Amino acid sequence: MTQPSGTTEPEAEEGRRLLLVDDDSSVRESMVKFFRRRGFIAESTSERHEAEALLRNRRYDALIVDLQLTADHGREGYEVLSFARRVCPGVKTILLTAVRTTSTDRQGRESGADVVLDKPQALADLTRTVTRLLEGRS
Amino acid sequence: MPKTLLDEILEPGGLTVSFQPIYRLSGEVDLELAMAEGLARGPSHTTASDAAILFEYVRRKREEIRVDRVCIAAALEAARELPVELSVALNVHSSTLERDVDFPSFLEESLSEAEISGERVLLEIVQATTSYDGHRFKRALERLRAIGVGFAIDDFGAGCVSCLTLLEVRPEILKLDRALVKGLHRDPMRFAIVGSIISMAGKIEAQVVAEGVDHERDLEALRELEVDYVQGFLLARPGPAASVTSSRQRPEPRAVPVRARP
Repeated sequence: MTQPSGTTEPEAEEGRRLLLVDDDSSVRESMVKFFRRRGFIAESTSERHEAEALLRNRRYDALIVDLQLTADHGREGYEVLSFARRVCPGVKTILLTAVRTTSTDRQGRESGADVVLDKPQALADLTRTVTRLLEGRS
Repeated sequence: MPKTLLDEILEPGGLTVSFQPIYRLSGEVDLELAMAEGLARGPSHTTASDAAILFEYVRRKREEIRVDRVCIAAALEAARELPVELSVALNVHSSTLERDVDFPSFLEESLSEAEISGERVLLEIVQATTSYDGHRFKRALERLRAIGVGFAIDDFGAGCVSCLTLLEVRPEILKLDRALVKGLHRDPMRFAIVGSIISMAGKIEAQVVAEGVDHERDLEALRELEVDYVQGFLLARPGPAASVTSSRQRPEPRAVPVRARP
């Protein structure tokens, strides 16, 4: 994920807690670094079960989850979203998918996603979406 | 295939074990060192370094059996450095006792390797689910009792622990969940509930350990309720086995044998 040139840097989000779930370590690392530089407290994992353990035991303001977390299953992102909706209903959620269709949009929203976005997604745009959700703007 | 968190937990040296002292509150010597609970933590660079995350993750992956075994082996190895008079408390999931039919043999072998007798061991049963196979569970308890091990019910008063568990396990110890202990001194209802549990424990010949004793005034409330044992940051934080004797109180350690049952 890279930032498109010429975009304005989003405002810093001091102390907002963010959980990033993606099985691609390079994507995960760049997202964590990007969000931390903007004042977020960002944690990440590649695994559904670790994400669920974190959601149950720690407080997050926002969750960004990739739909496809393992090659063999491919739809674990929905399960993480459903879990988050049950266990921490206030958390704002974004589903990322490289195979976006009307079906993934529908299933994502049914699983609890506030927003479904294409992947890759420019990090600056992603930050703006997170900020918008945290401010309660649709 | 990238390493999973489970891979890192199960790697040799992946877990670290510290011990938290447990003190007798109602004995002749005030705050006499009685037991030490082995506490496993995941690799320091992972989220599993937080015990709550470690065990929630393990339970969600249904890997309690493998991880319980690794935790117990690591704890027993580390427990070699504890004073030999102390009882050693180790955690085990009820699901492991139910599903791991070789667990009693594994524990017996691990105890032998660590040169620790079964009579020194108190297994703290962590019940994270309400359903289990009672027959297999009870069979495991019998085999473990045969090697001298005693039992505690962990997190009593919270989560999935029911009174039926008491009937099945017949524990020597009830470990009061920290959520009941915190704020005991300023909440009459909490005080009444804890007092009732202590009274009930006395009637079923079990002793009570209050966990999460972090404030002096809660300790005083527990003293008033005549709880048997206390454990918490106020008294001693978890540390290496060698540090257990250098905690808040330094009485001569004395064995606290887990009462044998007929």
